Amino acid sequence: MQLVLPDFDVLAADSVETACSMLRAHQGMAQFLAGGTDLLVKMKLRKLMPRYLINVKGIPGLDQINCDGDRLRIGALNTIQAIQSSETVTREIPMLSRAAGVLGTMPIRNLGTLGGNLGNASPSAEFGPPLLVLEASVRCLGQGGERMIPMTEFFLGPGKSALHPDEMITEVHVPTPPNRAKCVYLKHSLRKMDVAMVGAAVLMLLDGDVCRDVRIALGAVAPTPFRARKAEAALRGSKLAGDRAESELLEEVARIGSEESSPIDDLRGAASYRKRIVGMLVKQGLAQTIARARE
Amino acid sequence: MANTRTLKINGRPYPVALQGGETLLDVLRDTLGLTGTKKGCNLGDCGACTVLVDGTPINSCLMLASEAEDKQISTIEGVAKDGELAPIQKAFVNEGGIQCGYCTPGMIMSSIALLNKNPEPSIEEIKDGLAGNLCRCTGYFGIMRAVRRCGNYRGDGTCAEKSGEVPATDDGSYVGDERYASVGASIPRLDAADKAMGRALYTGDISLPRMAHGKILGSPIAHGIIKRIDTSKAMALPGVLAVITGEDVPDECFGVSPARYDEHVLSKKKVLHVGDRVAAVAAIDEKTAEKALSLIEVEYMELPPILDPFEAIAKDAPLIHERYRGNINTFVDQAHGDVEKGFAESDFVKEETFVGNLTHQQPMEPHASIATWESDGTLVLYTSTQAPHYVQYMLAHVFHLPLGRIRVIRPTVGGGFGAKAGTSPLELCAPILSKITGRPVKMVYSREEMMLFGRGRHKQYMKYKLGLDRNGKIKAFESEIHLDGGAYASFGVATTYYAGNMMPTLYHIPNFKYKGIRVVTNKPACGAFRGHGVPQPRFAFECLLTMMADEMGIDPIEIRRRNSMDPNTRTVNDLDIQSCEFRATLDAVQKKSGWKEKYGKLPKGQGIGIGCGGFVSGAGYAIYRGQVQMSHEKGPEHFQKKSIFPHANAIVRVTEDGMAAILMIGVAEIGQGAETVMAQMCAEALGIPVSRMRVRAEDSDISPIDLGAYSSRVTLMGGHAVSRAGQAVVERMKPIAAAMLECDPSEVVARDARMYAANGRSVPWEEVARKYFNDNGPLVGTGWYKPRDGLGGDYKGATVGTSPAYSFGSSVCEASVDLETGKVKIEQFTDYHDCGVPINPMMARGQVEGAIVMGAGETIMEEILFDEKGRMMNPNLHGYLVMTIKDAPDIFSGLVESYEPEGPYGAKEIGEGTTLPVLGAVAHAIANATGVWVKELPITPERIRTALRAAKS
Ligand SMILES: Cc1cc2nc3c(=O)[nH]c(=O)nc-3n(C[C@H](O)[C@H](O)[C@H](O)COP(=O)(O)OP(=O)(O)OC[C@H]3O[C@@H](n4cnc5c(N)ncnc54)[C@H](O)[C@@H]3O)c2cc1C
Ligand code: FES
Ligand code: FES
Repeated sequence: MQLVLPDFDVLAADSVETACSMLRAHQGMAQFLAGGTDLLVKMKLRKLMPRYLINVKGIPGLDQINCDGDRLRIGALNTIQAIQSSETVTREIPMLSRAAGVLGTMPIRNLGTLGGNLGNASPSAEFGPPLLVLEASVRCLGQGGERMIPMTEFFLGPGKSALHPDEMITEVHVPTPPNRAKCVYLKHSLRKMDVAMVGAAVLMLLDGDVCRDVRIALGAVAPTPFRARKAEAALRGSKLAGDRAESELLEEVARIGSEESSPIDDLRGAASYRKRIVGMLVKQGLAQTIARARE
Repeated sequence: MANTRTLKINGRPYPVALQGGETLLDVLRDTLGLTGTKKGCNLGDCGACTVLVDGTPINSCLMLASEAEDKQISTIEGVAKDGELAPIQKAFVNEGGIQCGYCTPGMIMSSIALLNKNPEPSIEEIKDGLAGNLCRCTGYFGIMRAVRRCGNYRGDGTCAEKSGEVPATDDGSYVGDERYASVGASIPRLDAADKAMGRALYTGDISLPRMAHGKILGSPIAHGIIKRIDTSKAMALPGVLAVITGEDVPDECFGVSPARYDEHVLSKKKVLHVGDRVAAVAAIDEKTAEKALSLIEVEYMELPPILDPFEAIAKDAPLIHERYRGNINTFVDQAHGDVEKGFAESDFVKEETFVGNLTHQQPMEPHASIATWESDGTLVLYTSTQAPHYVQYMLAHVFHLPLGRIRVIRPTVGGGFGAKAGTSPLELCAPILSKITGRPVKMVYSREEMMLFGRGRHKQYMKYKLGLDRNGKIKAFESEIHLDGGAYASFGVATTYYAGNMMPTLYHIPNFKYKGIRVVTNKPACGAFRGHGVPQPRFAFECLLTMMADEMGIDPIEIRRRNSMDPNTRTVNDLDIQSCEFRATLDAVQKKSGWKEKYGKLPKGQGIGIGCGGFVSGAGYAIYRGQVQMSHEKGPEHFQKKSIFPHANAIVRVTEDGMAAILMIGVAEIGQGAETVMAQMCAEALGIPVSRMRVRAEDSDISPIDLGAYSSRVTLMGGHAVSRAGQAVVERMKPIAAAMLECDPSEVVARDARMYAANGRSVPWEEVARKYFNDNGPLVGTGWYKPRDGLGGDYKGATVGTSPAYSFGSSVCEASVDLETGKVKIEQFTDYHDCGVPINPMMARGQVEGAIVMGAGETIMEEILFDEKGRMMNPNLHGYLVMTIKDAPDIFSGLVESYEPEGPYGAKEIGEGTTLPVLGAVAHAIANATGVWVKELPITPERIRTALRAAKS
């Protein structure tokens, strides 16, 4: 196929409210258009054929990044590149800027947005795991008014999120991690620009040699990005003395994390291999964050 | 409803009527004619469409034009100011950053954005900025140089100072031949500036008045019988001009090897793979044509697809083609020497099985063709091809037209690598649709359609047995190769022979047995891909030889030296090697790479490996038999051991003022630099600078035939033709010059745009040319080249692999492997090649650099995959992985001193042979790093992990 876009009309929204009412007016037949890097690809491939595209790029105010006290507020229309190069993000939560930096390619990062990455709700969405360990929440607005969806409740399945059919993501609220917490996001893909075969984010809070808190989230290895709670539980509160017991424990945690994942065989990798990589990345993530915490 | 909007492009307002649904890319290209911005995938994967919006690079195929209103759009057309190239463009031109040029506009736009933000980016920053722009030709190395050294290009285009930070590609040890002025000069390509400005016109950039757009309907199933086609709904769609099916196309089949023409323009009865051609439409625009396709109703009787070649040859397997018994399309069985005896005399014998991968050339420009008929019945075809003459021959064959009635125009071609060597369905459907509609018809493949048309590298299953004596000398080699050919023959007959015949060119193999079985399956047909048939067998051989060397305790480079080919040798299968500096390449890579300090001494996870290879410098025989004539007019043609007609032909016409020479030769410039090296050799013969040459190679009405850009034949064969044509001109000028100089014509020499007598007196070249014209009319010379008679042996298939000359090369690869994940990073390549005298060393290295990155990608990440129903699972550039600039290694490319007596100015090939050492070198480096051999391509992290696990237990 020549990949000509199917017929549609573009509706320009200048506020979140109009965007949402447009969506409601054309229920089931309309999609928000942000960067278009997911949407237009799906439309060219005829996986989606909306009658209307509601262009939300013109809505003012949604491309801000603010730090108020102990949280970052990142507007949904920020491009991936804006997040990567934001001084605020880099200073407060470097993991987020690095996660942005490994998403796709420069021209894609310049188009794609945070809202689109979440709205698309792909199991491999780059921002899934980092925002899960940061316990971020998604602010959205719809007919029923405004609400905050905790990240842990946001993804429901491949392409499915907790957004109501008339809701739009306006912001993501990210609590800045406790002072001494260390976080890392690791991505495994054959080429750097590719969608992750496995993504893993780890947040580690050490208190002396005790693991005060640990959060582990995985991407691309289940119907949605998810928190590996069992693995976390196996580590939380444990002593990490840099000895053999520690490395055995981390192995065990990695193994549990890998058990918690349920990847499928696809083009990018077989399920068994992905499970193995999950274990690897979890172990690496833990080791890296622990090492940094000890510095 | 269309809305008139204004786009601000390159500082100028462009009013456009927008429907609303167009991408910025389509508006730039189709509505505004700003075709410098390219379309390589239309899905955000390739970066060819990169433009700047408010200074930021974006993929214009993923942005709606309506969104770009009120923004500043910058495209490649606006980069040069008043015809003067910007520094970054000069850098791309001069540093070898451009080959086919299809990626160039996007690459330059991304570079500009990067450099605007950061005038002195680090290597990592460059890689990050350009990772979204794929290049299939350059291996990114010239591009890297260009961006690094952009700051050095002043207004006058000179390089102010060579910055030392760029890894040197060459140690300067190669010294050119002082006798030559143009030959051996690393001049920029003649077409580089046009490509850097986005001015070069590719077929898809051309539009003709009243042009219609054609599309082909592909089969959704892999195997079946067409029971009914109803085109009435499609025909009724407003804007549709013609719909054709198998009933409307000639009965004549087409293909590549005359004995195996087995494809109809559109399927007559059966569909043999997903994407096989069922119907075609022409409409007023692409969108309508695409809609029309969806309205064609086809009823199929599905047959079970046969996807596995071993199932296809199993007893009682249903036949895919009636004519191929046992589903075997080509069967080769050869023995040279006495293999049994050779193995009996061997001290070490090892048997191994290797499996290759189905890869695709992925030129950045997908195929495109435009057909139109002139009122006198002449068919004119603009087409993206690497073998214009064979397209002409095939059109003549299918349409029963004399060749003289067919004009093939080859606009700029955005890469081929074999994908565009055979005739494509676009080239055949467009003329039919054009005839029906009475309009020019343009047809362009999408990336997916191109991949479904196929013609990629055969997946080969290689069973090898190698016998060595205790010193590591080869005594006997036996191979059995099954090639998964896909649904049609295409180049497959030659592929099957090449897969075996080329093995004995590199090493002395006294006894050799080869069995080749090419099997038809319900997948897109495979064809010729850089190194035609040989890369996988060469990979397998190199691996096996290294395995044995390691087991026997002989250094892998040493074992190659002991077996290496010598000049002036006839191989066991009757191939005549002339020049051969293979050993010199081995010595050079060993030294340059620090092999002795590294091999066996690196920590686990780091590896170094060697691979070698070489190729023909042009096929010794044409693809079809007999003379240039429509095939049905020819009687049965018996094979004669000689070339019937010249393979390369050139005409030089000097302009009447003597200031320029027009070189007319049909060589296919597809990005490899053919036109530039032709101009260099012709200028050398004429005694004038290259700047006075103009090459007309694009039009079969202007240039005599050349067989095309395949089998690495252009430099050697075309080179002879152009230098002879140049000499012929000089011979004509000599008497005139002699009269002016009052000397004997035999003493006259043409050099540096003057003509000299033996006593040193001289006259300007152009003055002689004018005088010639005044008294004799047009100053023209012709030249041609035929491979010499009697090439090769007398056994069946002996013609394949024959060539006037052979290239040789050695590559050392250094790689690191993450032993936990199996992930490979190719770090460094050191390569030395024997290509005879390089006509243009910079371009020769460009071939090496491109082949290394392509070959390394083939070894570790490229593969087309199918599901159980024969549907392609990765028909795009995010599923099929081509190396980006981030994946590409550092490359050192050196050339060894060599002279080929059969070549023009001592030259031979460097196009395809450069791929051959790569696969084995990478495989060895990985084995060296991990301690395990992966014998199946691609060597993915997953396979490495599996091998490591197997080795543990
Ligand atoms: C070559 C290429 C490489 C890529 N690589 C990666 C990668 O490595 N990792 C990765 O995660 N992704 C990758 N992507 C996917 C994509 O770029 C990202 O997911 C991007 O963040 C999507 O953002 P967008 O603004 O373009 O979304 P759009 O395409 O505009 O929208 C996507 C979906 O989200 C909805 N939506 C958009 N904004 C909102 C909102 N504010 N509220 C509610 N719904 C909304 C849309 O209606 C649509 O359904 C890649 C894409 C391409 C083409
Ligand atoms: S054409 Fe837009 S990225 Fe390939
Ligand atoms: S020069 Fe880059 S794709 Fe050909």
